[in-house]
Amino acid sequence: MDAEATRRFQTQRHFLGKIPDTAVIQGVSILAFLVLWEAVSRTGIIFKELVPSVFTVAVRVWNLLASGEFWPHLWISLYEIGLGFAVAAVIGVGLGILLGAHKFWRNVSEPVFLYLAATPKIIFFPICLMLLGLDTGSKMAIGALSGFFPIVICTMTGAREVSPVLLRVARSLRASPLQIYTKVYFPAILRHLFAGFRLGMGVTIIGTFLGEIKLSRGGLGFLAIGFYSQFNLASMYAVIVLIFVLAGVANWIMGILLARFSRYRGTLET
Amino acid sequence: MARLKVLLTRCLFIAAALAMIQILVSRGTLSPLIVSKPTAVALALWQEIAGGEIPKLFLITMGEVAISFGISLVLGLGVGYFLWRYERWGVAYETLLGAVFGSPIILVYPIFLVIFGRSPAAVIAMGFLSGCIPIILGMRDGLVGVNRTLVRVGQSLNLSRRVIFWKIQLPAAAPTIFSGMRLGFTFTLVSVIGVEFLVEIGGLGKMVSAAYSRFQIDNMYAGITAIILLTMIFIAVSYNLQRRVK
Amino acid sequence: MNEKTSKRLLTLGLVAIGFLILGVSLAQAQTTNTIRATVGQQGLWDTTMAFDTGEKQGFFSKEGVKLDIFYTRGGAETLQPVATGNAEFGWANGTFGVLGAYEKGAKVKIVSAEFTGVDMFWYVKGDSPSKSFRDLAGKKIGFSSAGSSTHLVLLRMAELSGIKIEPVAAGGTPDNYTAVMTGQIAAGWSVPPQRIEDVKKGTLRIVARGSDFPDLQGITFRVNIGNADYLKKNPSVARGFFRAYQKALDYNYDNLKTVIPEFAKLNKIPTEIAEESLKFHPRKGVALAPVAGLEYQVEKAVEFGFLKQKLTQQQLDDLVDLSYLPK
Repeated sequence: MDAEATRRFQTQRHFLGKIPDTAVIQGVSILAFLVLWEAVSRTGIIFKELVPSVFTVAVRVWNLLASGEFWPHLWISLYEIGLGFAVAAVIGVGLGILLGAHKFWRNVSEPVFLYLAATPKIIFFPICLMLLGLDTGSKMAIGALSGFFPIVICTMTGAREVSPVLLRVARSLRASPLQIYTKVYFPAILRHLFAGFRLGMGVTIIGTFLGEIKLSRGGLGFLAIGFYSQFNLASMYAVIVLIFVLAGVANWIMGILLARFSRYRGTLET
Repeated sequence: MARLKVLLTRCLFIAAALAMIQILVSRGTLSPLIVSKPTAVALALWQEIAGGEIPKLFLITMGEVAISFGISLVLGLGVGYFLWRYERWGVAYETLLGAVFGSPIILVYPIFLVIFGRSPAAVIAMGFLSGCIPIILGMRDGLVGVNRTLVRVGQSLNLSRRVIFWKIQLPAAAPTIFSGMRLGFTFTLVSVIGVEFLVEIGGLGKMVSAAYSRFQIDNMYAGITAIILLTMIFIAVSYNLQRRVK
Repeated sequence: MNEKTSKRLLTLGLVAIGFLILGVSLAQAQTTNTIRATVGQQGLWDTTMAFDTGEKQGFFSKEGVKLDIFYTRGGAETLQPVATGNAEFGWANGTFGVLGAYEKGAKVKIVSAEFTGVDMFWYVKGDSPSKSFRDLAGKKIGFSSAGSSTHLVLLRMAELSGIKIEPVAAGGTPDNYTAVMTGQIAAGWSVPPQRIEDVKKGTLRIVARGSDFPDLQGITFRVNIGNADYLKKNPSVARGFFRAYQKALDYNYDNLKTVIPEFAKLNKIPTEIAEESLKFHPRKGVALAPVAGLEYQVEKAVEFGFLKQKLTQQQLDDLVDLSYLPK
């Protein structure tokens, strides 16, 4: 994206000779936000209980982690997200390759996927509830539904871009359709797959948490909205902070995987 | 001819899926309390449109989207320009904004609920938050990505900085900027409807949630259909606009 | 790398599908005599304490019943799962919602009353000039959502007081609290033990409570429902369930000194607040029968659009089935 400028600035101007300028700006910005929050909290401009002190929230984060209240809900959320994402990935990649490999079926299905991708999936949650009940199944389903669309769309894009040369070579070697799918399409589209996985993971996380917030009895979303109902906003903020950390870690992992497979693609293409 | 064939196949598949649902529900294999017959949904949809309910809700939703998108545009383009003009800030904030964008920002909606109460203002605030970041990034990335050669040509012609900006850089950046706007609009739309559903206030999102609450399953599916149709229209329109900008 | 990656991904896919099947089937599995109950609002005296006591004292297990409770935030969340068979019983449903669902074909039965009378109250900010409900004339007053019991009670209170008010669907108790504190509405609703501590501290003041309106005391605003198919197939289990529940209810009221501290602990409130809250739930309020004021509520349900038309007596007889209650 902006690797040029980033590299330029991170090698050139340095603050105190060690820290890159940009990192300083980022750090100061975050600090400024926290200071502003604390100021609003102390002066009580907005209704006091709504904006608890930063330190209060920090203490709650610590309490949640230390007291053990947090961990069971974390496992539930991870379970739902993990399974939901796995289902989305399997079905998304499968369908994506199958449909993406043929121009006709790609043209038939791609617009449908694109339109549905833009629709907020949470509105389908009642259907998940009715079909799969109140427990983790419905959350997993809405997570899978959310993640499916970016994955299938990216996979189809990747399948479209598979070099026709590779395909012709494979066919001339009398490769079976299964072999073509697994040995030609699959490796060639890995970069797109992981781009799709990264997007898909992001929306699966969102969908699962929204489902937990709407109706569930476990998970981090449930925990957060529970605190909200008790008007324990400091604890609610604490859970939200932890959720953002979780999402950040997941995104970071996906980013690494994507980078790894992007590099890989370079050697294959020649 | 090929395009017609594609269109027909698509319609055929959708029709076949709906027909299958219709049969399964009529037979009782699928409970009508969980899945409505497509015919019943179509009827409910028609009744709500004719009765004026859906147009009213549609206007509420679109009003919320328009206001939040409007604020996003003004702020987003402005901030995006600033981040391009002052490179250090731009590089620094690109990572920050990217991180915020990739995170489940919609989860902070309870905070807006408490600030604004259960009102459209909370929905608008959430829509704005979701939509402004792609616009900021689109504006900045668009301007950053302008081919330096074009700028140098303008400089060699002794054009002023302002002229270079408005006549060279901005038009060159337009496709990316517009892409960001389109993405921002989509996110705003999704967030608005999402929060409407979650909190049961506002327009079409509320319709789905309220119908579910009142056990009016036909109406619920009618609402879902209306939302899908709405997003289809907007995606199609924005794609067309995008092509024109290019 | 190609081969390995694709093989790994394929294996991962198969494992994922395996987990999926396992996960979904585990979610759906239930042992016989496990009763899944959706309960609106956790922590309230009438919704939670009987179940709590019943489990602690072993009343349910003595009847061979294993409880699987799912606390919801009320309304459709409690009702829907029972209607679709994802739960056997639904506790503390607004009568309105049940009437509407029944009309649309939901196979549910009202198996008992949950609370008869009004246990909710309306409050204003401590420094508000309004001293009584009448002072709220012309002001914005919160209730939960359209057609809910809070809506009905609020409108009826206004009618009986002879004043005109501006009802606002402000949402649940925390939403109402925020709305009152930020001045968006003049008065909000709550149900004990929530906000009672604030009342004691003086930051809030109660302006209306159920006991102020004796006319409302005879109406069952919340009922408990059961899935009709389940009841038909398992009448003895249902009866055993209710025997245990009634025992727990009786135990609670006969042993207030020991149960109230438990109630306080559950809600993380001081014991005096818990005692104060209990004043809103007299013993006869939680009686499982009769289901009173049904005709009145049917009328209002039509008025609010929860029912398309009044239910016939035959339908009402079909809907209400108190035969599972202990005699």
